Amino acid sequence: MAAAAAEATTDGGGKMIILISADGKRFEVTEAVASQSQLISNMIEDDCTENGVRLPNVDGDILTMVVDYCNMHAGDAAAAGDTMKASSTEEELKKFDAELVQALENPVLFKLILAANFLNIKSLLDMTCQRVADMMSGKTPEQMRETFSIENDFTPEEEAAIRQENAWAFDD
Amino acid sequence: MAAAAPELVDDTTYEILLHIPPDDPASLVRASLVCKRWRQLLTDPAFLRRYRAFHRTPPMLGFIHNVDHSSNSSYIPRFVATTSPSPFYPDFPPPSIEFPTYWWALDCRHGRLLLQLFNPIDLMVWDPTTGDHRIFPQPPYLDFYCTGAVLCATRGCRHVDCHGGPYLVVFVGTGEDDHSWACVYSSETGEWSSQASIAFDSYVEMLPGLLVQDTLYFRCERGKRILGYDIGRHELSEIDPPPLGHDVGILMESGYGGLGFATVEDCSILLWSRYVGDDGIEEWKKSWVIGLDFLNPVGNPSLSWELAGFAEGVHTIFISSEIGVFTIELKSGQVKKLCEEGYYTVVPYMSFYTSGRRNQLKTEVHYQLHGQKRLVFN
Repeated sequence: MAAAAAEATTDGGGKMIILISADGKRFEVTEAVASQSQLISNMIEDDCTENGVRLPNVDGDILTMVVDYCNMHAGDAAAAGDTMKASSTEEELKKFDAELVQALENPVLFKLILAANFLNIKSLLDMTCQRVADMMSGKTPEQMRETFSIENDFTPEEEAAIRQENAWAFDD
Repeated sequence: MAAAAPELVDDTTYEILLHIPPDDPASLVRASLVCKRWRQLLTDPAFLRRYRAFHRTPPMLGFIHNVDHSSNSSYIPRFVATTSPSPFYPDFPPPSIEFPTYWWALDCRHGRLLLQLFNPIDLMVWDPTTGDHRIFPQPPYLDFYCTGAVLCATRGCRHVDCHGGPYLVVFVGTGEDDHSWACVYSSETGEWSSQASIAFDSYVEMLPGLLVQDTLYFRCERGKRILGYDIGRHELSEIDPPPLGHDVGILMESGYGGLGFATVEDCSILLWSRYVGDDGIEEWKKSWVIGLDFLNPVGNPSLSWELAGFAEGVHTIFISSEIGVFTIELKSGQVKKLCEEGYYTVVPYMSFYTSGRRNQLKTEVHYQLHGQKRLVFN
């Protein structure tokens, strides 16, 4: 591990940063990888990553996914010089992204959304929110409540009025 | 052993709801029945503005096609929805229209439909999402061959949110003395402008126009000529279509954002782009060929395809044959079947459906159209 870290330091010329998950798992990543998170990027600018970045609301298994995602996407800028390489990388990225979100279901998907939101990684937040929004298609309000663990707080009268107002959307 | 989903904080809920695809308007409505918090968010004008800005391009909600009402009293649906379910009924009745008046869709743009009314003859601009409409007379210089186009009048508008704003109607016609003319109606002044005129011995067809930058293009004489109207300059121009022996072609946006043209030949669609050559002269260039063989059912290789329309902004071509109307999304290459019937001309309707006002109007309109009480909601 130490050899790999040293190699990355020489190779990318960037410093390594330690991310620490809620359950104490440590992830060593380059600055370029970590700074895809706007939160960490700001911390790097403020020079407060020396003793590792503690992420008390991101579990190790979720952080593994986030780090995989960031590792994969950190290559974007590096490959941009070579057109051929860039296009193949783009395809690989698309495939990687599609496989990542397709495989996810609740509650992992929601945890990943919360992590992307907390870490402020816009592309990951976009992708995961899109997956959930697409999953809502064709679902009834009851099914949506179940997915999101939300209690129905409408009175039967209120619910009936909304249904009547938009009857077309409830023609199942 | 499914673990409960973690509770999402408000801003992630906001992000998720923002990502609901606009071509699935029913999901937005159903989501608003999940809980009070969601309803508050989904009916908040600030959220809806952000939603439209986020998705940028209004989705296609369906298309309108024209039928000859004068000769047929039987019920013919006029609107084919491309969303399921659809907020619009197939008979798609415009407000304030009563028998024996009937209508023909001339054009649709920026969420507004331009209808030619017959018996009596008038024009109507109608926003089916809000129900806003206005009936006004045609320009005072009418000819047998006329058509029109409607567009938002606000400069720099991105047309995601211009319902209720000012609009223009451009009307063009071909006279008997081999000249064509154009004039503009402004919703703000309620008046028609003076005529712009050009010597032009081809007749303009009663079809939707195509807006490219500041110019509206109209197909003439089954695609043998093109008439251009520069809105800013109030000037007409004549454009020759691509040089080939095609029968009928349609106007479209080229992949480069300029004027394009599509033709059908030997079970393929040919796409043409207008571009300025090195010598400064505008020319046509064949830019793409799309084979249609894959759409022909086995055992019917001779099926003939017609180009039925083009949807601006979403870069989608409509093709039609006896087996139905299909769309081809030119950017993604995605092909969709929309209906089982073939239609010669379709007028695509694009709009964000984020308003709750429509259903009330739907009832009123039905009452007016049929002159009888009919239960609209099941």
